[in-house]
Amino acid sequence: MLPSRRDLLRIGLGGAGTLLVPAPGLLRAAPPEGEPHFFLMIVLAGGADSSYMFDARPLAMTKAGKVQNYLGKEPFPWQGKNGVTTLASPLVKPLEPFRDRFSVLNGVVMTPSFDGHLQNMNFLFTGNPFGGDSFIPHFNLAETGRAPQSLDAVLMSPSSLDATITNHSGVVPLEPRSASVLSATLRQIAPLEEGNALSDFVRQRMAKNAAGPGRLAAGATQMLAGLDQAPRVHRQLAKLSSPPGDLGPQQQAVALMAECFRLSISRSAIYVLGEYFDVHAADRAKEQPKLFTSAVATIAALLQGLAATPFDERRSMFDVTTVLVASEFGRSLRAPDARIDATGTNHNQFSNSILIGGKGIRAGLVVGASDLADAAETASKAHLGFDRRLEKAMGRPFDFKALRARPDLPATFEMQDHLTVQSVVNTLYALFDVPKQRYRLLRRDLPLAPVLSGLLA
Amino acid sequence: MDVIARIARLLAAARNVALLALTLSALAAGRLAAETPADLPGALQALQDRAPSATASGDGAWGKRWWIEKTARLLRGGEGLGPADDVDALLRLPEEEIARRFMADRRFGDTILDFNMYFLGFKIDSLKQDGLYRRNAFDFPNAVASAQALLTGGDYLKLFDLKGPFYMAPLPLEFDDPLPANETRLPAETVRIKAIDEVEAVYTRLIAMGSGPVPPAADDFCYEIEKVLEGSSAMHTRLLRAFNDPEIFVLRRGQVLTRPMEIIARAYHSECEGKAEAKVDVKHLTAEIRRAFDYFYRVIGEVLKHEPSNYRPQSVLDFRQFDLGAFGMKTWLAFGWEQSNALKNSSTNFNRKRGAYVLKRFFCDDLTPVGFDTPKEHVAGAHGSDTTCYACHYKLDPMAGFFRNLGADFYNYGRALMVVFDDDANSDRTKYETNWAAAPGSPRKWNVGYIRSPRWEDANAYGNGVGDLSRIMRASPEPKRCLMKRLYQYLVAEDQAIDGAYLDALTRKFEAEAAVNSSTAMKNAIVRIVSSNAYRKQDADPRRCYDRAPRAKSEGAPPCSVAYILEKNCAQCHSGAEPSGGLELTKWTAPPGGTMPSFPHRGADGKTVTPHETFARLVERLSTSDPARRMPKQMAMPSQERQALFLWAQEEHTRLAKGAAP
Amino acid sequence: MIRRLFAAAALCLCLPPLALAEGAQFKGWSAISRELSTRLAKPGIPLDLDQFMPAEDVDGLLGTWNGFGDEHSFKNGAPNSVNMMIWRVALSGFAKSVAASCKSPQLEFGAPFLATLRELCAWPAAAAKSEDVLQAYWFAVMGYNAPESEYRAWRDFFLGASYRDRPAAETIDAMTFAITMNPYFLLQP
Repeated sequence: MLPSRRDLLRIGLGGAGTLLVPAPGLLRAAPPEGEPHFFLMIVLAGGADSSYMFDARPLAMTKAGKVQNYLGKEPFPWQGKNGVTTLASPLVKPLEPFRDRFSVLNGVVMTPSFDGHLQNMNFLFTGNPFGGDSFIPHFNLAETGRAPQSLDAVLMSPSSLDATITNHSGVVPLEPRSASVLSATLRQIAPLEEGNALSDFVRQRMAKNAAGPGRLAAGATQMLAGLDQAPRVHRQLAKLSSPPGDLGPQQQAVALMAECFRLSISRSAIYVLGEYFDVHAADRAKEQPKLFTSAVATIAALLQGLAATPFDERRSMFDVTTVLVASEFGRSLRAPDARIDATGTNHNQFSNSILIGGKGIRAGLVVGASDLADAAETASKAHLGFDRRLEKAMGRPFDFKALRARPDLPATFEMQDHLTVQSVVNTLYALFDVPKQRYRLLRRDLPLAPVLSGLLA
Repeated sequence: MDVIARIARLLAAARNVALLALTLSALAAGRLAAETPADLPGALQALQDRAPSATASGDGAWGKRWWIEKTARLLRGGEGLGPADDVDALLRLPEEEIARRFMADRRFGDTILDFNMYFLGFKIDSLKQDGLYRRNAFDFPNAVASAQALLTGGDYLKLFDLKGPFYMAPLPLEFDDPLPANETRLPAETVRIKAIDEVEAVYTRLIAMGSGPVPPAADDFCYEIEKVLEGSSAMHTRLLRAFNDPEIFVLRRGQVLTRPMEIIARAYHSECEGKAEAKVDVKHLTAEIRRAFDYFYRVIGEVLKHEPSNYRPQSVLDFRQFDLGAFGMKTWLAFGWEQSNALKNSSTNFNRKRGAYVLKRFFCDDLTPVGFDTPKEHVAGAHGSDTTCYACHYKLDPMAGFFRNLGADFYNYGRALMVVFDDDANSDRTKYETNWAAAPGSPRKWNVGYIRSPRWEDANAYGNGVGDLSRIMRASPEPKRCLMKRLYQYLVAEDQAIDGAYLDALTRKFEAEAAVNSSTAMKNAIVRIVSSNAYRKQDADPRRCYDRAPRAKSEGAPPCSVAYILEKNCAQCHSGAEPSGGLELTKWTAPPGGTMPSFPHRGADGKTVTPHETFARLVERLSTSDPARRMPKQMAMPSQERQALFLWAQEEHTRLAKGAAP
Repeated sequence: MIRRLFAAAALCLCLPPLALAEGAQFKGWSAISRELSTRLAKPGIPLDLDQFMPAEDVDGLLGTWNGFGDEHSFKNGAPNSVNMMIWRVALSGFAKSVAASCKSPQLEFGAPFLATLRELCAWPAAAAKSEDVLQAYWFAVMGYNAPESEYRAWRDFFLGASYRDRPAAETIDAMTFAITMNPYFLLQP
């Protein structure tokens, strides 16, 4: 639910680290190291149906039996500053106040070879359906030219993140209630600073054992690095304040995330929404208006929290944070062999919808598009090759310079013709100055996925 | 056994190489031992059944104490040495004897159950909390049955049985959902009795009504029954306040609530619907209600034997078998409450998640897509036409087929018209089953099985249901090799490189001994691994293989993680003076003028092929599905080995592309 | 209808596995608690060590196999600044409690450990500095997890200028903390 003004006020009054009224002491506590830049990833788990957000279809298509629509309301045109229009579901109205804060990417292709949740969530985070290094910790590497924050990211969510990721040791789950108790405890204890004999001895043993060739030495090295950072984290976490206990979990998470950024605890935050969007069964698909109402409210709350919270005297948290809202894939238009008013939907890795905004992003654009936009549209042979029964919309071919969908109907599906999640991640890499060696390939045998330069402010 | 014979035939050439290696090495080992006893690998000693060294590596007594502490912790359910242990006495014993003493400790039962849970992918931090076993310890009945068997010298390989006995966890002392206000202060057992009494009162009232001295009017009786049937849902909801989800899962699978109501409903339909009142058989109705009640009463009686006041198992051997006869069942499906949440059957995955789970956990096949052997017939279906997909789906889909009757929560829909999935979708079961229908003309009805090769069907093991899958796992070599691999990872480290030949030698020993007694075989395997070099190493390099098979050469040989795979699958053609294609796959040297080692490789023109090119070709030849190019030719290479070799070759290729050191 | 019980979402805030950890990971709070209880507690009565955790529900950040809703793997075991800070806070609390036990036992210690501790409580008296007393204390807390070189470094440090004349409470606190923060104590072997 979208927090009320009263809620936000209460968050603001709840303590030193606040969404609306940060205490001056906190602002002083976090001198920006270079240009501040944070990242918030909001995950819609389960494969959210873009047609309930920014890639909707006219009701005429539902009447023609092509696409389910359990809201039963006509979508409205959402025009981008670049002149491109998409249809948006009335359910996204709470996001309208932020339309100049984010751009909509439609028709984003995930991994064409896999339609499973795990493989596509892995692909989103790591670029590999089987998992690997997540892109998020890369924003916090010294090689970006910024001093690393204490943590790569904090994970705050009511749901778990199901992905196979190897480099998340610096991504730490923080639960608001535990964090506030932890903070209170830490205020009673002095950090273990360097310079006292005992602390130096403990470090010395770690350093000595870090010199070996094997697993224990590598672990000791990590322990030493962690211990070196621990006093800083200790001081930072001790400053966390406790949001009012009667707030909902989402509002508490918003407050905690804002503090983690402002206190230089973390470079990024991951927030997995509590709603689960996998709606194969008709009964569950019918719940989508409710699911998206709740999810959009949470997204709006997070954005509103960022916008309303000052980072310093000049900037809000939104000004210093890049935000990405994504699901592992979109959904099919309908399931086969069911009535259009009694159908669930299946996975669609050929068309996802992503919102991107905040620092460094040209907001207000509509970029890319999916096909099968109306009942009469002819699908390309490329599309038919994958999806003969036209159950899934597919990202249209994409003009990377103009950031627009192309009108042509290719005979074969070529990754380089499409807007892919690889390009989205590479665009973020460009934004965070991540070295090119980490950029994602379009595919193992293809070149690097193009950066969406026109999306960079 | 036919299947095994066929695999053996297919792999005969490769195995002969391995056996020859073992034989030669056994001969060589004596000489080695005589020459450099201090350097003799512990695993080799153990594999040759020698008495393990009385002195552990490391610094003398400190090193051996370290070994004892580590071994105690691993073999006594996480409890290392304590004040009650006579360390000095232990120091005087050979390592094998120490290990066997620890295995004789009752806490060893916890170790085995913990390992079984690790093997099955559901290990937890501690099986006990505050001295009592946690619910998770009971989750996998095959893990419990197998652990009990090991402690009593029985059949440890019950671990592979996906149907068997059932062990119910002690009933909860606290409830997840809030109780009615008037019950919040009552002990859990009292709440349970109260809730059960309420249901029993409903049955007994009907029975009393039907069997009283004056029979009720049939219409009245039917009306009362109808009211009970209509209110059954609410009645059951009230009953379930006295249980938590894991117990409700059991009650559901055992049809504790639904079956009695079904009995009554059937009787109601036959007597009360469409019959003249005069013809309604009140006695029959009453008898059926009594039958329903008897079922309920018996099952609940069995469930209540698990009240914590009288059921507090202190060791794995104390876990009591549930009397499945109360459910009218002979066996219980091994997948429990948590597994039903973790391994869901959705309307899109069609049990593939469960299939992938079995391949990963029992066959150590991680489903890395590296191409496949082109089937002799054209492959159709959702993934059949896509080469990349088919690389996994050729084995994944038939494996999923073993579970095809098991829908949401592993509930058996085998006799139902519909199957209900975990995502609440449902499907006509006949239509759904066509996904596994064998092609016309096939000798099988179902394309369900453990598929080693879509090209050579003789190599595969086909079946129908979960029982067949268990039988196949017991008979196949892969699960035993997987068991040894996981045991090594459990005892040494998850990321420690293992020489494939060493693993095969461990497996062969285990297989041979398990043919006589699998418990003895398992204990011996544990002794071998805790005697291994990697186990003794205090700061082991995860990339090194500390334990090599006999005769394995390390000097100038390819990296240990793949050397044996190459030896077994490739060396027949790619070794010697004139290796096929000029590529020698048993040597690993820096090329002339180069610094980074690779395989010696000369092109048709006699010129040296660059390592980068060599690896590019290797990756391509391992993953292509073109039978004319796919390596090894005319031979079924185990997919686990193909995956390992492919991933390694791909890493090397990337490394060479970046010019990085190995 | 039977209560719908299968929609329970996994509410854990767990991180995915470190598939190929490059270094040894922590044993985890549960394993460390069990080790200490085995060595120091009365038989069958585990030490109440949870009291030293700085907050509830953060023990999972120190490495855990527990989970729900998916296959289990060891999570959060790689050392980082947050878990090092939590270890430090928890283990300093434990060390202080041990040191305070010279006056009266703060935890349900077993007799063998109390006997060992009592001898060390005479610090800085010479008797407490004997090799036998120091080694017994080292083994009592560390077990046999570390090589002799670690023991020697620890012993020499506490016999050196920093602690040789300090009071027992302060020294035993520091000694215990130094042992329990050692990589051989905390990391998987």
